[in-house]
Amino acid sequence: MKTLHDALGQSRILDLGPLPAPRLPPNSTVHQALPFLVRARRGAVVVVEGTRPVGIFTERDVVRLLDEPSFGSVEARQHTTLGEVMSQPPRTARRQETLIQAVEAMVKGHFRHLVVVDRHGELKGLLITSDLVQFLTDHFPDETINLPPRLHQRFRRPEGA
Amino acid sequence: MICPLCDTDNIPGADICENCGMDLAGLDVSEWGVDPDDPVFSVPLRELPLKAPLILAPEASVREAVALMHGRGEGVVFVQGAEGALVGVLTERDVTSRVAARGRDLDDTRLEQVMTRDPVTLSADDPLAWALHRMGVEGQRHLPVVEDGRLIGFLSIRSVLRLFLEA
Repeated sequence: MKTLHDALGQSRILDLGPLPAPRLPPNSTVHQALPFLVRARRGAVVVVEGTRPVGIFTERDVVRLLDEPSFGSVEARQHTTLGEVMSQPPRTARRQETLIQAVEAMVKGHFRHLVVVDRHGELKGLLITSDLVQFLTDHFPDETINLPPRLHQRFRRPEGA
Repeated sequence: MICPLCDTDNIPGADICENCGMDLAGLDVSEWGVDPDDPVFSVPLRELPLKAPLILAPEASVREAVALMHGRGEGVVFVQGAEGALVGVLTERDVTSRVAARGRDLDDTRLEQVMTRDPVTLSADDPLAWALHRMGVEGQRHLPVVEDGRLIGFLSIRSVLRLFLEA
């Protein structure tokens, strides 16, 4: 039997399967990026030149920009490019790295996204904190998933035939 | 791998023991599963490092919420009604999708118009496994923890990751 730590130490980022990475070039505007953030539900857009990640733009950046007095209008969002406001360079991880390495990088670096690249530096995915928690709930279902829809619910009679 | 019947050391991945013919297929495949007594799963939420919640009233503007979140470097604001009950929650994701993407005005939009109402709460006595369930299955990144009807803090997905490092 394994501990959580063992499970994370013995699995690699590539074992998680596809990690969707919404992507846009640096000359896209913040206004154009918003629907990508909303639809992909990954919390960030990877800014790419070709297949190479050069930056990342997150939901946190949206909040930061909204707090700037000059950024309130839709017009401002239409004129600001991702290249101007993205974080760069993005934090990256290789697909061969273990999940515990990924967790360590996220916890120590205080970020919630790791841009996954291959050995040529080409974009292969976006790892987010939810992927790691999902990995655990998928692999330890008895402890975490097989719970009633409402956690404090108790059945008076056994359900089913 | 060692044959469980005769203790012969076979090459890794062997299907049949070279000494006694015992079926070894699948025996060296590591099994998923975790020690059900692993204390990480059963630790009650009150013993975890809960974060102090940022709190605003339902009538507060999104402008106030955005300033508070940005100023404190936090990704969530909890919304409390007049009687101190938790009535809603507003996350960075809500700000992005319900305010910025829809072009709403920050000053004219009140939290009660865009917050997620009646968020699921966990009790301080609930085990971490239940929090993991909500984060993994429902995709929630911030879980409010309530004791005697009062919000005492929240568990962030990042504190959970930190816990995994120490486990």
